[in-house]
Amino acid sequence: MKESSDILLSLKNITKNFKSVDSSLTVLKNLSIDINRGEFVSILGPSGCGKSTLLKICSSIIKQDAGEVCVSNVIVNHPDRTRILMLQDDNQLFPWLTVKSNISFAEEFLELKRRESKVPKLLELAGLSEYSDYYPHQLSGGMKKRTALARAFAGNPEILLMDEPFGSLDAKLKIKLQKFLLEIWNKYRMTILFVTHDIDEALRLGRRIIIMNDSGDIICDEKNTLPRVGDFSEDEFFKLYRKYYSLLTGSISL
Amino acid sequence: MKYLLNRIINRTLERFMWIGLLILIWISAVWIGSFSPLVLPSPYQVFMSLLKGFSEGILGKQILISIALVFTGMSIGTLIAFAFLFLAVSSRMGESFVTTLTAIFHPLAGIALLPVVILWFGTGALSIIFIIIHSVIWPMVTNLLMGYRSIPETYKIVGRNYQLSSFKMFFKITLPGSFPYILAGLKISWARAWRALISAEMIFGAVFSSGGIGWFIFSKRVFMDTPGMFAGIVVVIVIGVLIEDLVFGVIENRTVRRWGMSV
Repeated sequence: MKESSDILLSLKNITKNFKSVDSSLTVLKNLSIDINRGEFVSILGPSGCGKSTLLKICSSIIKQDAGEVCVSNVIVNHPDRTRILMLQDDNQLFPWLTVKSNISFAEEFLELKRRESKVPKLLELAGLSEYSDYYPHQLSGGMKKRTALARAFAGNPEILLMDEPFGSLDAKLKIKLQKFLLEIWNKYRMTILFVTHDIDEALRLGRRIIIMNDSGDIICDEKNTLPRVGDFSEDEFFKLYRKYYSLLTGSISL
Repeated sequence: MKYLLNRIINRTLERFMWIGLLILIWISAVWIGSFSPLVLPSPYQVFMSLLKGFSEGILGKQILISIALVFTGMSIGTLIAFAFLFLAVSSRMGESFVTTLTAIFHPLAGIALLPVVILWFGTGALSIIFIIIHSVIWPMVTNLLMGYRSIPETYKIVGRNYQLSSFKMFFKITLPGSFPYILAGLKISWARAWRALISAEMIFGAVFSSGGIGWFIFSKRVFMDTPGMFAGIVVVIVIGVLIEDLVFGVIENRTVRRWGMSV
């Protein structure tokens, strides 16, 4: 299959300024990226480089000042459920809905009801079957994250935009959830843009690595040469880790 | 579930214990002071007066009238409050209009409006409902606005992401998201409405054929029937506690408490 014909999400010359009363801050300037269908892309960058803004623009939750966002060669301007943004915030679950209802919230508007619901399967995959009638406040942090992930998958999005979803978790839980994410991605193969500032996480998850510097420019965009989890030698891993580390630290202007 | 049930039972028992203690104090006060029943009747005399009131059929009817009035006023008041909420969130001018109205009318006691209201609507049910609506709208609007502003941005983003219509956005996110505040608003409104009602009934006198509990208490004063006056007061208290504990308590347990959303 030719790559060029397989572009799903295309950002063209995106510029975004944040204006306050007396100043204007350019977060993204003339940024262009093409993402292929089914790709799992890790986006690395220092805090404040505009990664989160980029995802919000990809989902049309906020509007760019210049440039275009295209999905399958069509310009998009409004949020829609084919591009689901998964926020970093721990409070993205609705406290008034049970785990099950939170997940099926994504399905309710998709007219998937007539077809077989994915919710029971997702509950099982997420290890939440026993907790399906619990309310979010009764769950642990990891369970909340899994519920949020399951909801994001439930709506069958073409593109999943994840903003440091595992940022607030401890290392052990993080690895568990990364595995869960990969499991699901292997099953449904949606396109994922995964924003993180953790090089390790970016390497384990993404098949393509994009690095931004603190002025919002892309300074590296390449295929992840590491094979999938577990199969690579530590040497390979650390070689890449060091490379990206120096790119990232070099990108912070002191 | 069993835990919750136990907690409710314990709380009810505690409540009865304190009420029992208060009645005990009452009895001893009557006994020690040996007051005339015209000044301070004993609980027994009040109880007998209550029984008489109910058996004559007056009291029951008056309770029903009072509750019907309060319910009507609260429903209309809440609807108007929601209309003000829509106005306030739809534009900046709308918001400043609603907050100005609230600033003007919220501190204004309903009773202060009575003479004017009588002039406009007479001394019928309409006037009482008007006073109740007045006492409901402003605390309700204040709470609705607070609730609306308290909804986390993330919920709205999720809603927009799933392309909810404004109608669904309201019912699926705004309403449940601000429910703790809505409930708080309802509780405050109910307390104010109930007070306003009793006062208005006392001043207006008979509405329809009989006049509500306020009028019941007032008319007992005319005949110097002190146990009757106390009986009326007891009814006012009991209804207040029942609505608070049963109606609002149950709603609270089934919603905000279950959701872990108490404010």
